[in-house]
Amino acid sequence: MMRGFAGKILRVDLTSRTIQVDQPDEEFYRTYLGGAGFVSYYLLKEVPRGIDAFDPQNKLIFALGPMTGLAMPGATRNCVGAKSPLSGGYSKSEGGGFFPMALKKAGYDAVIVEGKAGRPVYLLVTDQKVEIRDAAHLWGKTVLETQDAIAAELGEKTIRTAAIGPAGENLVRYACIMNDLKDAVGRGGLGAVMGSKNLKAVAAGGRWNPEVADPARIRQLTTMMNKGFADNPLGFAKNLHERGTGGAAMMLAGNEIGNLPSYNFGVNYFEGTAKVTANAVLDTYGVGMEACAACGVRCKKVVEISEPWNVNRRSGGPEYESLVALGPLCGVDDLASVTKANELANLYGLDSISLGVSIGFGMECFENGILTVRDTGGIELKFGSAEAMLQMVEMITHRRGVGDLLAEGTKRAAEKLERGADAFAMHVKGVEIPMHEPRVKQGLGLIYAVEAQGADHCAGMHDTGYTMNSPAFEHLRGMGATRPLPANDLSDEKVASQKASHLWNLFLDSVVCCQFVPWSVDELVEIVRAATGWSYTTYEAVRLGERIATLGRLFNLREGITSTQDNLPKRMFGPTRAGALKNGGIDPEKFRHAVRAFYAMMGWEEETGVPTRGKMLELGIGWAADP
Amino acid sequence: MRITIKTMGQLRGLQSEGQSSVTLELHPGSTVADALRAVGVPDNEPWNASIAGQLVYAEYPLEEGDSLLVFAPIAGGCQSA
Repeated sequence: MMRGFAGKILRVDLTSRTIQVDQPDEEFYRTYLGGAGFVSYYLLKEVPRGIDAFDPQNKLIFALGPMTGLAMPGATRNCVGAKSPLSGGYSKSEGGGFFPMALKKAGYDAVIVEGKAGRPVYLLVTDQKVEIRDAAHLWGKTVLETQDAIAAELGEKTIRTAAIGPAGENLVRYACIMNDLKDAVGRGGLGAVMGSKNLKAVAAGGRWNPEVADPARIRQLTTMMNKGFADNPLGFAKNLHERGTGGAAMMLAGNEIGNLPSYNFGVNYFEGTAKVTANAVLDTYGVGMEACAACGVRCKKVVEISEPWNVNRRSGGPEYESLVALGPLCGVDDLASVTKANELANLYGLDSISLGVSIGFGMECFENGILTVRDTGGIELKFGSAEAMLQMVEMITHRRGVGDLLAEGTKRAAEKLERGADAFAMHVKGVEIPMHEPRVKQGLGLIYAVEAQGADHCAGMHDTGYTMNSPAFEHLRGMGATRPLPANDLSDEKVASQKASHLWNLFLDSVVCCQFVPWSVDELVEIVRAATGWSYTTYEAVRLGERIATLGRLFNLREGITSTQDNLPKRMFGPTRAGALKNGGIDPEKFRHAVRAFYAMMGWEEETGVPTRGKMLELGIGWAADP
Repeated sequence: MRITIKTMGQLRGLQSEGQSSVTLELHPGSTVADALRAVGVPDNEPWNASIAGQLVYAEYPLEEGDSLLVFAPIAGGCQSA
């Protein structure tokens, strides 16, 4: 019997209402490990070429890893993948909470959903049974209402849900899947794929526990991290424990150096920054901090507001991405409005990054006369208007008026509007850019451009954190990082370090482990060994990362997404209107050189980014040469 | 030459919470690393620093009147410190 895994992958066809269990061999598990590895394999192997993301043949894959289900910090996380309705290509995203642990306790390593139900359903997965259940009464409900209704219906305390809200039902292209109430599997529009299948939720639970090879070592590492994270040499968990992401010092310093995306990346300096930091949130509306299952870091803010409107403490407080995307990016400094918009994103199931960037895009179009009050139904969609920002959240969710346009994401909205609107569309491959400025963190900008799923801030090294020798940099040396370099460096050595970081993140996404728990490379490899009993090595972790990135690229190439889309918006190659980047911008020549260098280092053709046959054979994915 | 160091947030060695500012007298030709050493930041302590919004690094030569902003490295949505 395999250790660390259930050894079972559940397949559900919603069209035929058939349920099947696969039991792949151990070689498959060791090759793809879990999470992102499973997602990459199944997407390329099984999703038919050229289908629309909302075609019933698209597959929605909920994947766990060898760490999932263990009572360890950072271990309650899953990866979900599908063909993306935003990019039309490869997409995966991760989320935490309690649902991933519950799914493992049901006794499965992954759930692959295909087809489309004739009417709304939810899927019940436990260690006793798998059922496709009616969800007509849940359609139109928020994530919170859905979770509470399912809990009441089932009356089983071990059950946890991953659900969509009205945004997913309405096929908002950046709808997310919410694990429990506040942990978003956020990027790429996976909630819309779920909505297209008439699948309202997956409810999972059970009392099955994975057997691990070395339980004493697992306990030892768990105790070490829970007791020592505050003094961990990688050194960021103490900040997360105190206030989560978005601390005032970080945001104010970011504002000074142009790293705080403001006014749709047009200025990157925001006067009201101090009003929308994590410190401001906790000082004004905070009622505590809380954690995902079994994690001592406890990085999640709990907030409550009664005036001017109600924000339910169960809905979760805003993280850095939400604070900036719904705040400075839209020119909004009203903390209550930003906190409310974050709650609505969680209740309606919207990716707060793409949501904020789409609203910011709309505001810039409005200020440039591309959208008018006739388009907006009389709303003055101007930067700085908290009222307009909140109105857009509602209109996008329900696809009302101009919200129907902005629900398409910035790329499609710009194509429909024409008249130069594409200059204001801040996306890579259709996926909106997160709240980390690629003109400051230029190596991360490279990763935004070359990774398969579009701009993702969790896929590369945040250059500002790695400019000096430090435990954080030393850690990345374990995956192949070269030497500390300036944040705006795009040399071959920086590209090599970014590649190392990218592979590390893909390994994390396969284990599946949270980036906010400061496990070192050696420790995480040891966790895989202790869970599975394999003599797993860092070399295998590096190869796994390359395998996943290469499979993602092959998926995109098959769907017609070529190296021409490995780029950043034109705005990133020029200065902002004011602020620290008013003389800045990425050098396009250096950037193209870095893209080619990345391809070469990955074993892809330097000019085209097409993986070479030799690399595919080396990675054991020769089958992918003609999928 | 005279420069000002402003810190933002917590940085080991500077022992400050929130914002604080100190003015220093340094030899001409001093670098950012010299300035931080002079105020007690340990050599192995990582930091980010900027002058007029531009990130600067250890060997950057300071000039009379420079105002140096120092903060814990920005690593994603938080800081490593």
